Amino acid sequence: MSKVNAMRSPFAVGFTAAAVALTMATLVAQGQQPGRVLSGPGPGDKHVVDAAGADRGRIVWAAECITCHGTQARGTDRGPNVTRSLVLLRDRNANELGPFVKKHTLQSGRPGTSLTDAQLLDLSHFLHQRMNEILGKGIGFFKPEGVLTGDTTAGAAFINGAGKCTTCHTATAGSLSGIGGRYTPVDLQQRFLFPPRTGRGNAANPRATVTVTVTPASGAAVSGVLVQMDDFDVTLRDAGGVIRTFHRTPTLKVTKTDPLQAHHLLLETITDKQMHDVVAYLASLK
Amino acid sequence: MKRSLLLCLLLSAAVGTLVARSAPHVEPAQQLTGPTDSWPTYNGDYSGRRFSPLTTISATNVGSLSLAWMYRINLPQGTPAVRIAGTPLQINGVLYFTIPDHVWATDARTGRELWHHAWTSKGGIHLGNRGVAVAGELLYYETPDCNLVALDIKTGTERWHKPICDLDQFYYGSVAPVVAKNHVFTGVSGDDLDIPGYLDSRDPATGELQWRWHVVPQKMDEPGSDTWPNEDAMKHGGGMTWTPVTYDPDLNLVFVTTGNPQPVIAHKNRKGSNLFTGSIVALNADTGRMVWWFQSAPHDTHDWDATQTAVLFDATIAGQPRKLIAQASRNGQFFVLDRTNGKAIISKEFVKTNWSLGYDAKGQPIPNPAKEPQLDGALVSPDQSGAANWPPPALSPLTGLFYVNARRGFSVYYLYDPDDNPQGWGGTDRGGYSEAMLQAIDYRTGAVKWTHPWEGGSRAGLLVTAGNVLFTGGASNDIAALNATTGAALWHARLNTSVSNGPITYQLDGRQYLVVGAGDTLWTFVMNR
Repeated sequence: MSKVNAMRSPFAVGFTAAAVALTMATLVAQGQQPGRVLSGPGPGDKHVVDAAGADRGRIVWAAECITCHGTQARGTDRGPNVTRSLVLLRDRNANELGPFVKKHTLQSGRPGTSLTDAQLLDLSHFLHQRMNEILGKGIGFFKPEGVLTGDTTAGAAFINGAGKCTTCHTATAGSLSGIGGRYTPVDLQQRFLFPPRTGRGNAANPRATVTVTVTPASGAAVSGVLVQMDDFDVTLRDAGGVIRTFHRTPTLKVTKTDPLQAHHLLLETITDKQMHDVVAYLASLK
Repeated sequence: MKRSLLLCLLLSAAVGTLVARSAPHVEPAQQLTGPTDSWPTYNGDYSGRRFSPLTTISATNVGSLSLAWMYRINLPQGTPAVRIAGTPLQINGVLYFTIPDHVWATDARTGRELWHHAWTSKGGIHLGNRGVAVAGELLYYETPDCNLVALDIKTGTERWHKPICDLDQFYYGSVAPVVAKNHVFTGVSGDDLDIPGYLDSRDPATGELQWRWHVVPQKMDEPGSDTWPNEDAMKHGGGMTWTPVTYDPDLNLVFVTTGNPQPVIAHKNRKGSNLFTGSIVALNADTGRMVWWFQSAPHDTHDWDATQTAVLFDATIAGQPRKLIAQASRNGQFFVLDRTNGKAIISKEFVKTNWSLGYDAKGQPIPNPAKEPQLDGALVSPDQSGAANWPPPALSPLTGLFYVNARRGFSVYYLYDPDDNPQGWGGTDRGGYSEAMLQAIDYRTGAVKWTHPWEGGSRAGLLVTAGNVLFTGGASNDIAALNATTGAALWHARLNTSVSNGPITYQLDGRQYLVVGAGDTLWTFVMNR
């Protein structure tokens, strides 16, 4: 499948629709006219892509432009990059692109003037869509691919050996059983390196919650979930749900416990190969 | 003779008056002693040290600071980027500060609003605005839609505006201009679509372009072009100039720090070190001619703009008095250079990192190709937000320390776009664990003398004073004061949100004020007599 066709995936269309909806909602909230996005990248009067028009424009592109300018419009040895050309950057609804194309010969040998105004507008939508895919880091369109490159056996050896993962992850506590069926490979990679503090539905995860014990010079120690700590005060929530703040003094002993500390320390020593091996092993635990 | 002398004196006085009318507020900043009754440039003076010689507030009495006034921005809901991320200027008892598209003047003693200027925007990224520059009766600032605007300093009325970049190419304006001699230095921002960065010098009276220095070479035979594979890659090679410059009046050199190359993460089409992105560059202030360069971040692939302030200071190194320049760069490297020629004296990590293979003969770090973004991910430290970022550092000649709010972070860098000709970003990093700390670096050795950890994180600018006090944002939405020599916590006051700029200080009527921005509010504290 070519990249051009790949861009017609439901995801890409869905993202575009969602982006347009979000933009419109923002505009309404700001009391502005549609098409006047004033706080994002580029000009506020930028071209607004019509997805159906872009689909039609893709056909024009394939028939008349693709050979020289490439599937992504990023240029080839025979033609320049279009997506970051000033003609396209200045274009709004083919007002710059149309006159430019009409001066040139198309790949079929036809003159540019043979394209109708409607075709030029569709072409404009298609090219602006290509450019928009690049903007905003391309995060809406591109995702990490091919994360599963590690060695499953080596990953198992690391988890059960040098990684010391079984110190905490046992069959009955923090079990890794079936984890490969619950998360994608890239999420597995992220979660074992940077475990989230919260669980499903953003609920507190006691296995990942930082706690603190405060011991005054005289009196009983008080423990609870750490709420905030700086040079001057420490605030915790005790088992009864009461928020308690202690002013820090030289005689006040404060001990913090982070159950994820082993994961943090792992970042200091783990190699990229070990990281990929672990992901491969975790992904195999269906 | 006497008549001639008198005539000369009268003429001198007349010329002096003319000079005073055209640029009366820049003079204090031309000194490297630090401001006292004003804060006339982004960094207080041209050196970038953010060092105040004031001593009314000191390490022994800072605990007595009290609130003088606060000013809260009142704009309609939905106004973008209502966050004071710039440094106010204080001149003749008036404070000038910004958010994107807006400038305010307030009474520096009381916070009373004197005027408010609003720009009607045509677009651009509204992320933050670093502030204004002032010369004579004019105030200058950049807008997100690529204009340099000049306002009447007394009324806030627009005098003129000039386009300084192309909004259609996804540039935008955010940096605080700096005025020196008869130049307004303006930089540009934007890395959405592979555009080249530049620094302009503009006429303070009209905004007309005097010279433009292109960060990336424009032709293949120009210096630095051999670090790019071809002209197309070079001319789309990035290198934004979004941090205010520093300036040495004696050497007449302006020091610009440049951002990351582009495409930002994917890099197949820009093999080489990609000069002069990720660099500290010295330019002749009058001509824009490059005098020397040093690349802090060769062939960057992690969005580690090397735009952190290049701080000027003089010190004795190995028994020799030296003119020096220092930077704590976003990639975790601390550099001290001879600012007359750019030769490295110190190259050293100020936080532990995992991406370099050492240093080359110039003292520039050598990136490890294995830690470039990968399709299956590469675990890298620091993360994209960097070991340091835009919040300004500080330097005290009294303690011999360079201060920077630092982070030690980890994330996984992914290459999204494996195309041989990637564009835009083509990847990014994800996730992350980080620790925040204030690093006090001995600028004679590069060794971290002490570390002050911030529980929960802090990323604010710094101010250091001759009173041995270091001011910055703390970890719990507070403005904090530390002992500048030891790092011991001395005082803090909780604000509405975290500190969002670099604090400033000035003394008026014998009272020393401390001003800091936190979100939509400017807070001012004072040491009462």
